Amino acid sequence: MSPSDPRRTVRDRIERRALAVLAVVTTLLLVGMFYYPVGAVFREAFIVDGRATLGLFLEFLRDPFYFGDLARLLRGDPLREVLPSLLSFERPSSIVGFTAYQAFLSTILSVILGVPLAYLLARYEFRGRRTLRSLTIVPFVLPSILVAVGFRATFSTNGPVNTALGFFGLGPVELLFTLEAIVIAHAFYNAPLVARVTLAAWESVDASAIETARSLGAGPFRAFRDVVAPQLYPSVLMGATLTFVFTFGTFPIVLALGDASLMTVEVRVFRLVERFDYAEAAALAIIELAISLTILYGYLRYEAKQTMQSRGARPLPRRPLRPPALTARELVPRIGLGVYSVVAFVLFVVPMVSLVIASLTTDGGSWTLDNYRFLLERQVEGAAFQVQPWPAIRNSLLFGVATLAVALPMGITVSVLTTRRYRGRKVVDVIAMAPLAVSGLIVGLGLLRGPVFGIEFGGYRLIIGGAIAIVAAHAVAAYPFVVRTVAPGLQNLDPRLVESARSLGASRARALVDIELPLVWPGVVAGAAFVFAISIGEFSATVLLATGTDQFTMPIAIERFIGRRLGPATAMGVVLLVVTSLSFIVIDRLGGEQRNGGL
Amino acid sequence: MADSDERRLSADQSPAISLDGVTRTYGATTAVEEVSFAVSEGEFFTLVGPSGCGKTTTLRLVGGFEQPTDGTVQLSGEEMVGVPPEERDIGIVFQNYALFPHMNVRENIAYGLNFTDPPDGQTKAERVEELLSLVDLEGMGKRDPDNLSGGQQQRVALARALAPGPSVLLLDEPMSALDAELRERLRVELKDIQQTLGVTTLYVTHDQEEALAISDRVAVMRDGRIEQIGTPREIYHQPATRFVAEFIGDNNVFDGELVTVQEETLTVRLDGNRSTVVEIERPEQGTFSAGPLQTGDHILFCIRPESLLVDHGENALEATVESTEFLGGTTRIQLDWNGRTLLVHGDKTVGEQTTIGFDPAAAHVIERL
Ligand SMILES: Nc1ncnc2c1ncn2[C@@H]1O[C@H](COP(=O)(O)OP(=O)(O)OP(=O)(O)O)[C@@H](O)[C@H]1O
Ligand SMILES: [Mg+2]
Repeated sequence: MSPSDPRRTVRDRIERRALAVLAVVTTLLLVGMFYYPVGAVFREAFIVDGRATLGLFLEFLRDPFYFGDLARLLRGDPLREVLPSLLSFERPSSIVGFTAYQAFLSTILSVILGVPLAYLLARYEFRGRRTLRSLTIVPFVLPSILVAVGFRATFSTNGPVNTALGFFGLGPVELLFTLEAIVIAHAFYNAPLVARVTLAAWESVDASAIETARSLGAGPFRAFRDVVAPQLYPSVLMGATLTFVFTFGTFPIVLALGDASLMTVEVRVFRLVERFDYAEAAALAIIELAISLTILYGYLRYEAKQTMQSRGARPLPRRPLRPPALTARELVPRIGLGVYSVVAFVLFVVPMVSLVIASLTTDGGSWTLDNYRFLLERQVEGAAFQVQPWPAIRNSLLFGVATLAVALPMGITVSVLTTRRYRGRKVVDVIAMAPLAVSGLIVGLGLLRGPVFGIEFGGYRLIIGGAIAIVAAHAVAAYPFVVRTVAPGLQNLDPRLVESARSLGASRARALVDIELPLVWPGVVAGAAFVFAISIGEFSATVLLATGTDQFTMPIAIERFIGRRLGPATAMGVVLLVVTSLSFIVIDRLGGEQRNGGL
Repeated sequence: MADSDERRLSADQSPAISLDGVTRTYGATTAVEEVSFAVSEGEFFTLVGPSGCGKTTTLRLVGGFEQPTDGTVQLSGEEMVGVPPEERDIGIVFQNYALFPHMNVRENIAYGLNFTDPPDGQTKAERVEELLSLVDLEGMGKRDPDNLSGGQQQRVALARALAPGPSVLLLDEPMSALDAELRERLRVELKDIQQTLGVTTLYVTHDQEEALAISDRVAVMRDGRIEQIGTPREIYHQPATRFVAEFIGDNNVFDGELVTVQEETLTVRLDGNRSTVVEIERPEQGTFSAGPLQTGDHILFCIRPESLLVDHGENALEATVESTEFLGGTTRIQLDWNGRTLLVHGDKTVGEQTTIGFDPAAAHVIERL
């Protein structure tokens, strides 16, 4: 290469800076789409009438409506009076109390349903095991509003469950709008997560460790207790913690499956925003964030002390599912798994099947395509403010593509920046991945109060359209998943490959395009599928930003339809299901399983 | 150092590579310390030293993959601070070759031609063919790197590095993943190619034999510093430090006190046995920094095993055979001499008492202690 060749110098100079430019643009986007809006929420909550204050927070803390018995204590009620109800196991009536209560129950149920699944997948060989294993990633792409419609379809008075019960002369059960429905829906969502992290630990148990224990005289149960269990329970705890945090911040499921008496913090935040009580909404959202982060932080502290991840040199062998002999020892666990399968089938499969059936039937129970025809109608009879189905589908697809265009380059840039070694990389890591920990409601609220309503800018008012804000919120929620699918691949690439390319004359950016990305492209495509699925299914931020505009998406439309007409809601649910299933297949084929990377 | 003087450059021509006081630290570790050397145009220069001594780091500093903490790196007289690797006009071959797995052999070799026009007005395709035949891989262009043997991969990597016609070739232990026989064959080929092209080459290896075999000059490194720079013969016959004497080939190092200093010879009372006095040739003046050698000085000198002769009367040492090692051409004998181990070549049986001696000219004075 001759450095003086004039044809090349200009392009060189651009290329040489390309990565730096990308890094700067990504930083600006991250600030504009995430840190500035979140900052706006904090300002809203902490600055009242131009003065910094903790007043709003103190009010919340002392309000029994939010904090129940704790608030009564803080208000100065005597402990003697508060203690009995504090210690009772009744469902708390305060909002934070109820939120924690349902999250706790959801976590228990998710663990109960998730661990056997991990056991089945880790210890037994059967047809479809790999498929079943891949399906545990579905919760990451399945919009929660979809789960809600599925449950509505399943448990409605003439849904499959009550029809089946009626056939046996039982029922009907009224599960809708109950705590039970919410907890079961949460388990649908989170049990696979628990299963996934537990499975990863189970598969990394080294068979020779167990064999050593057995050779030293431990029976099979004792060996399990002494060798396997200690390796599993940190993972079960991780699954449980994540489930608790996720369900503590639950929103669409409770919005769709709960009623006025079942209100979680996020639903309350949403109601406050609807009533234009922005400051209160902001303060409450921050309280929720603080609680979630405290739990996560506590867990991470615990996990740091526990790290004993032994990469299983030789994983445990899998047994055939068909019992090799008819002894109690062979039969008991398999019968247990059989019972589990029935429960799991009802929980995981029936809602999705009911969704499809409900979309194809009329209220009277006869087959129809009316619900789908309705989706294509541009103008719905009735008031103009009603949500129209076709624009919702169109918007969802448009936002999905736009989000892809923003989140994919961002995710790749962050992946490159976080896999290189340099001082302060940890900080970059945290800053870049923070959006994972912050609820969509906060981002949505921040975007709504900041850019959407307008930012004063030296006398000008900078107003960003609802559509852009929605894409921004989706991109922020989605790009960390690109990092998760791309970064491990980059990390595992031999750095000598890039160095070779550069010694041959390629700029850093060119080496990324020519060498690194082609070698990790499955991860890139899987990341893209994640982005699309997350954008299509995003609810929390979208519902805030779309209110009062015509920018609503499929999940929002579903939520609006649910209350009035289940049929169209289920039909749109099926469309959503198809789109997210396609994303799932892409992720699964190309990189969902990538080295078990924490997903 | 007569040999190296010959290739010293005329004042107006800058060396192809020149390092001046280069230091590179990583936190508390100093990988490379105060390293200075100059490689002239077309020279084959080798860095050799034990594992962890800083060879790779030095090479990476030249390549621009690392920046010096202190000191300067120049290529063809141009200061290289802040110049990225792609603008340094280098070719590099790593130990694991780092072939691009998603490209076939031809695409690998052609990759650098995306950024540089092939030399001599060749087309890209012609250039690739030329290199394929240079490294003896005609017809292999369509193969995937994964389906090649280690030796073939190594040649592809070499061809890829040479394709753009770099002015400096950097090689980091390119042979160490190959078996011994192949290694010897390939190093002859490598030297041939290097001489044909006349490309300045910086070669890194921990194999001292390899270093001596292919280099024009060798720098021996230890703990981040350069111990000695010289031609293979100088390094072998006139080691400048005890470390070099012992690292390069087998050696017997003695220490002792100068009893007499004469015109031609020195007599030394050996520390290993105070009653033994030997006579060795006096080195040329000026070799020792702090003035000429004087009676009473303590010195270090060495004698190669092949120059220590069994049953030799001159400078006789009484020793016992400890073990023997049959090496094919010769047998290497380990002797115990007053609790110290000596290595000689010869034919003896274990336990045998023997007298060994040497010609005064066979001893090389390393340094004054
Ligand atoms: N990126 C780095 N960070 C920290 N220390 C490093 C780094 N690179 C090298 N070192 C340290 O610098 C010293 C020299 O390393 P270098 O790789 O240059 O040795 P080497 O001579 O090539 O050894 P080898 O023959 O084993 O390849 C070692 O102690 C090594 O641990
Ligand atoms: Mg090295």
